[in-house]
Amino acid sequence: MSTVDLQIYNDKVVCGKHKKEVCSECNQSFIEINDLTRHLKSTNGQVPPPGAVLPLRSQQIAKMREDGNTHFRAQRHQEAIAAYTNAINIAFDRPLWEPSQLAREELAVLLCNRSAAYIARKEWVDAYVDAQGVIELKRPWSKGHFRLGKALIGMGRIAEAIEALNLGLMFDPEATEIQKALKEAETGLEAEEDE
Amino acid sequence: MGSVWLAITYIGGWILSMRIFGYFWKNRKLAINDAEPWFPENKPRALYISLLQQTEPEATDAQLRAALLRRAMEAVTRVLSMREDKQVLANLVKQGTVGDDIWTEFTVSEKELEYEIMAIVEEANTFKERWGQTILQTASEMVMHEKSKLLEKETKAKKEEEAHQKALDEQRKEHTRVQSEKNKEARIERERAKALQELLAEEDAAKKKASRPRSKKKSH
Repeated sequence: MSTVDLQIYNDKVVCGKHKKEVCSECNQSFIEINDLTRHLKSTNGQVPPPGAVLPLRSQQIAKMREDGNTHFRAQRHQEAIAAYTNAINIAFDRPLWEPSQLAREELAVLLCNRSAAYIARKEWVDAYVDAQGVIELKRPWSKGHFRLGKALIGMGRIAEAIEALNLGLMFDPEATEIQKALKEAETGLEAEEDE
Repeated sequence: MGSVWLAITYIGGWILSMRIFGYFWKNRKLAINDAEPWFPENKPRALYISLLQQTEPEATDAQLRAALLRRAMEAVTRVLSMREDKQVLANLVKQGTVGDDIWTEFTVSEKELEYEIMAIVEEANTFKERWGQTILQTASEMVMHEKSKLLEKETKAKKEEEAHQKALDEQRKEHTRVQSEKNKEARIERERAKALQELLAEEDAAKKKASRPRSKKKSH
């Protein structure tokens, strides 16, 4: 029977030889187990029942999202990005045993909002990456494709933008903002071809 | 006398063919035992067992539970992947595309996995009564949830890659800009040289023109 060379150091599981959480020499990573231990401690020794959600985290995330939205509406995009980023970090830290569906929804909305804030600041690459995350989490949601299209237009990758926007329209044919963006992209493409 | 020799060759031939058959049979048996196990080593299980064996300091309850949950997650992943593979593999074996040894290995792993799950349920019950009934459900939720957690790392990697790409693009643009400027300068230089030459040629021509009338005058 094989065993792993490990020890417990400062309440953490680490590798036996070098006392490291992630050890490239032993080819081991104990991050997952230490993360899970940290989350389990917060349940006061209870076993997590299936489908249980601690309400505190959801409240925190909702509050930060609201903060971000307020900043965004007031055109303070930098602050909005900071608030969304905080909320995203908390959302990513959700205990693993909580329903994944909930986590996905939450993250998709947050990433989508942050992407919008990045677009407003013309930070195209960040907006693009966030939009791709939204699509990965929630593909049938047309908003993600819209943001991706916008970011791609900003980056000057018009052909790809049109593709993304068309895909978004397939999920929601009546989305006026996508239609508008598509027109903008198509005129951009024509201008490019004229050059 | 001849019949004795005949008998000896007969028996000798038999023994030889038996030996040859036995040799190949043994090799085949060895090959079957060499078939790779269906799954790689079960690391979370090894980790849990090692944690249980820890002394000074002993592993805390939360650590053991976390390790057990991880072990259950691995079991769930394996069950899902086996369920997917089973139909395909059965078809392949029926067609004869895949040898029986792989099928044997598969069924052995299936049995092992069954025992592993029973062991996990039992272990869970030692932590808390009736946790065994829910631990697998929790673990399967965790497996799904972990997939969306991967996004965090992916996002970071993607951002770096895109930034790198952008930097490269800019470098290239800068390079082409510099190049085109150089080309422009060279062209201007060439044009200047050409213009100069033309000018010189014109001057020459003018001189000749100027000198010719004089010579004509002289001839007059």
